Order: sequence, then structure tokens, then C-alpha cells
Amino acid sequence: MAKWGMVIDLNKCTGCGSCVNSCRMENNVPNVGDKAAQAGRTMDWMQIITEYHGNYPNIRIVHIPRPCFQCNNPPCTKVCPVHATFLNEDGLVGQIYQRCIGCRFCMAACPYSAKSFNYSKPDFPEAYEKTLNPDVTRRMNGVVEKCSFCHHRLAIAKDVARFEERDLEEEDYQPACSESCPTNAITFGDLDNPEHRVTHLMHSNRAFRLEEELGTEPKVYYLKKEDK
Amino acid sequence: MKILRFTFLSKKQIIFVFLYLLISGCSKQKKIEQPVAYNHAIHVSEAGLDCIDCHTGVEKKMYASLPSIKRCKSCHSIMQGESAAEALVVEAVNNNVEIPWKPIYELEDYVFFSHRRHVKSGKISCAVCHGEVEKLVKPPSKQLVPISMKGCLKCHDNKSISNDCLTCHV
Repeated sequence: MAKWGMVIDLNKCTGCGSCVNSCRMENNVPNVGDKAAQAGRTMDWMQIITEYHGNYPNIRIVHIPRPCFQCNNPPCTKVCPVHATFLNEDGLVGQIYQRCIGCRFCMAACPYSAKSFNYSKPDFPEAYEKTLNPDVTRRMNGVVEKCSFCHHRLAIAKDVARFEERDLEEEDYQPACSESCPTNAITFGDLDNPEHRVTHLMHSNRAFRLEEELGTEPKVYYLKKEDK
Repeated sequence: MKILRFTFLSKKQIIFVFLYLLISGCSKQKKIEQPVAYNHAIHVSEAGLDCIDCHTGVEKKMYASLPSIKRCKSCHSIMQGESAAEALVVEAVNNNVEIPWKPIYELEDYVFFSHRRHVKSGKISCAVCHGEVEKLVKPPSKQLVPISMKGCLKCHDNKSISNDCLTCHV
């Protein structure tokens, strides 16, 4: 089976936020509004963490895009009492909203804070309704949601490949973030397939994973930012 | 009955309301009336049509479709019989107006279902999920075979297809 993963080159990332916005549009992630945002209830499937090093004027800025890391040894699935979140055969950590009871154990267990909770019913403005993606369900209030590596695209890609009687290729399945990145900082593919670009990049001497010592085995690799 | 004191309804009325709610709650789907009293049986047995002939896209696309007026036009530009239902179709064909057919099978938005995968790749006949529609003289007002996740899982189990949640849920 495939092992879908991502390599993010921090040298190339400019922190433009294209991945964040394309993710919101693709996955119908609601904007929570001012009050909820001030209470720390923002919903982000993809977030850009910005680090500042040094003192003004010699500041070095590093932008770190953070999706769900789809860990191989996910701590979130082990604490879920209702099997709403699980590691599937494609190596994706699924989240089934209809099954979720909103206990938020998984949010507490995730060391990367990759999950968000629907504190209120998603309220989309009237003009926004027409732009919602019909391939992705709208979540109800009281459930946890997270980046799915756009797995609805995988379902469609598999369907097309099966119909055309061929194997799934690298370009068939790309999540919204990697597709929209203007600097090609995000590369996506099958980590087990030597023909995919990610397999070369993940073995680079710049490659590292966040909080590797926890043993979560994330499937998102970063390429260290180097000063030129 | 202390509760009754605060309501405007009598005992009989409350029982009636309770029974109505019970019955309406039992039948999951509302009855759907089609704009034209379409006769499936006559089209299949006498005209020799297959499901795919009118519900095009079932084999080639993810979504099935309801027949467009162009499909009706190939036979019904003039009256073939004498029924009132056909007269409506002929009128629609001549005016080039689409007949507003109402879908009976609509899946929830959290389910990913591809028709071509089931029909073309899985080689499942239409009757497995939709029942024997070809024998109906009147248009079906509700699902002949109610769609449930239990049914999906059972079939997936029998054919040893993945029952992973992400296979169908998006």
C-alpha cells in the first residue's frame, strides 16, 4: 500500500499563506469570527508557524507550514474512545465526523496541535455558500476536525485511475496546499515509491521531522532552512 | 395528568398527535410525486430499453443522472400511445422544456459514492441497490431498497472490498 507523505522545503517557503487559504477553500474550513478568534478558537487545517531569530535589524525569519503530520504512530488514535480517528491502510489518519463525540482527547494527545474543535455551528456568509466544495462535507458543531491530506481527492483519483484501467500516478493525487504553492516548497507523493520526488527529498541531509524524539513518526518532512 | 392542565389540547388530541408523530417518524422518507406518471415496465418490456439508456452516465461518470428531454425526444416527438402522461411528455418535447424529475436516491454529503466504480468495475446490477424498478407501472414514490450503511458494509464484506471508513466517508 502507498504511504502518502509530504516534504516541505523551508528554503523555498516565503510564508505567503497560499497553502492556508487554498486549504480553507478546498475543505470548507469556516472562519470563526473576531470574538471566537480572540478566545483562541480559530480553525486551521494548515497553519504557518513563524519563528524569529536574532535581534533587529539582523532578523532571520523561518516560516513553517504545519498540516496534520499523519503520523505512522499517531498518539491521537490511541486515545479516541469511539474509533472516530484511526490510521488507515493508505497511511492516512482519518477523522470521521459522524462518529466523533467531541471529547477532544485527540486534541490533547496531539503534540503538534493539528486538530481543531467546532465550538459553534459553522456559519458561512451567504456569498460564501456558492463557493463551498461539494466533495467535502460540512462539519457540525461539537466535532473535531483536521487536515485530511485532501483524501477526497485520493478517492476521486483512485476512481479515475480504476476507470481508465491504469495505476495511480504521482500527479493524480496532490492536496490543495502542494498544488497551490507558488514556490513549489511543498512536494507530495508516496514515500514508499522510489519514482516519486518525495522519496529523494526525504533522504536529503537537510531533512528533519518535528518532535522526532516523541516517536510519532510523522509523514511530513521538512528541509532545513540554510543561510546563503 | 398534571401536564395536561398546562396545554390547550384534550386527551384525545394529544393521543392523536402522538400517534401521528410516531407514524411519521417510522417512515423515514417522504413520498415523492413525479411530475409525469412514468411507466418503467412499458419502456423496458415493450420499447426494449435498458436502465443505462435513459439514466446515462452510470457507466462513465461518478454520478448517475435523470433523463433529459433530449432522450425523450428520440421517441416522443409524436404520440406513441394514448395516455395522458405521454401527452405531457410530448408537450414538453415540443416546447423543448426539461421535465423536473425528482431524485429519490440522494446520498448525504459525507458519503463518497461512484456509480461507474460500482456498475462498471464492480459489475453490480442496478436492482441490487434500486430494486426491481423495471416492473413498476407507476413511478416509484420512495426507495424500493432503502439505502443504509449496513447494506453497503454487508456487500463490501461479501466481495472482500475494503471496509475502511475513509473508503466512503469524506
